[in-house]
Amino acid sequence: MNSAHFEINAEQHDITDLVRQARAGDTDAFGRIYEHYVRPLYRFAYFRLKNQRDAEDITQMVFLKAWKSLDRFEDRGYPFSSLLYRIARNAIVDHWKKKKDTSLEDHSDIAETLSDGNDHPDLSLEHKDSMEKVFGALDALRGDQRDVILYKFVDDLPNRDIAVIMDKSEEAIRALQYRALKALRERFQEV
Amino acid sequence: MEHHNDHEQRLAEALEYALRLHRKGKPIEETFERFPEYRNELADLLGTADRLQQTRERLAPRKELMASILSGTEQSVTGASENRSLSQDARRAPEHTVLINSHMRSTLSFFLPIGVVAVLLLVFGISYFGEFGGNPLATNQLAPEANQLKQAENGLPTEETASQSVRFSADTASSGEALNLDSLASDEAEALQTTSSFESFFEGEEGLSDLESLLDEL
Repeated sequence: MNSAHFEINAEQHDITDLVRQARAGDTDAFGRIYEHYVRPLYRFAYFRLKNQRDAEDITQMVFLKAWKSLDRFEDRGYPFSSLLYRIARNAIVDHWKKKKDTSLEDHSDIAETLSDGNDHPDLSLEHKDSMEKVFGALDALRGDQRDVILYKFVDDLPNRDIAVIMDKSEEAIRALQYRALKALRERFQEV
Repeated sequence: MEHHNDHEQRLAEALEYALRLHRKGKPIEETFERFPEYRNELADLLGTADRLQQTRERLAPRKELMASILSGTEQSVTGASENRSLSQDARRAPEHTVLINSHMRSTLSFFLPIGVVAVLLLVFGISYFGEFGGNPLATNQLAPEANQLKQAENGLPTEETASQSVRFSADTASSGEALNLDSLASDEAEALQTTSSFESFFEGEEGLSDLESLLDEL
């Protein structure tokens, strides 16, 4: 636990340094920030939008907005990742609002906007099929169960952060996580 | 029901423990040894979690995205600054004009009457001090020149008039003031000489050429 804690601190320290360099106009530093966060952010967006083009648009917008926000970032003292994910989350909410959908937490119409099959052409048909089943099973979950699954297993957030986001206790998150995973396993068996 | 809740709570704890070990890269067997009664359930749940994470790992944006973002940042920097300047200029022009007009209006409404009054006062002051003089000394110094000019226009002898005025002043003044008047008389005589030297300066060709050379020097 301690070593992991130190790793996180060291990583955060590196990112802070990169952000400082990027603020000074070092595009290489911004490139390294991009490499560090692009996949997690893309996955964050893809699991919620289920469309490669939209997910890439959101990812691109996040980095462009982050680039423009670099000056203001250090003054606020938040981890840089929180800025990125906040931008991404707001962008996804706006995306659903534009599509006459509800909030990020309510994906009831997600199934209707599933990818048309042209996403990720580098993936094999087998993998694409598996991915479709996973998304289908996720869609069948209750809203809070789907959210805790995404936060925990897609976004890799610790229970403490998920508890804050979902306004629940860590104990409640632990129980919800168990029930959500159990429900997902049942959906997999059905699918 | 209570037993079910205890079982669920205990399984939730076991799952959390297994996930933490998995995150640290430790073998799942440690969890099974610690929670042998939940071995099968934990194996299913961890398999589900693993399937999710495999799906996640396969997802990646196109490689072109990086180039697109970097070009976007460049465009946002250059384009934004250009647009910013353009839009600001476009916005500023009318605003600036309005501001200037407004400022000018308020400034003119305040300063214009004052300026007119000041100019009138200046003209009046110049004419007043030029003709009568506020300072007695200045009056005495300037009066002969002014009188000389007027009297020259009227064809009167200037030196005589000046000496008469000095004499009149000397007669009516006290003995203490007589010294001052004497000095004033000598000043007047100097002034007359100066005036006559100016007149002679402007009379001849020589004077004009000197003036031109002086202007050239300046």
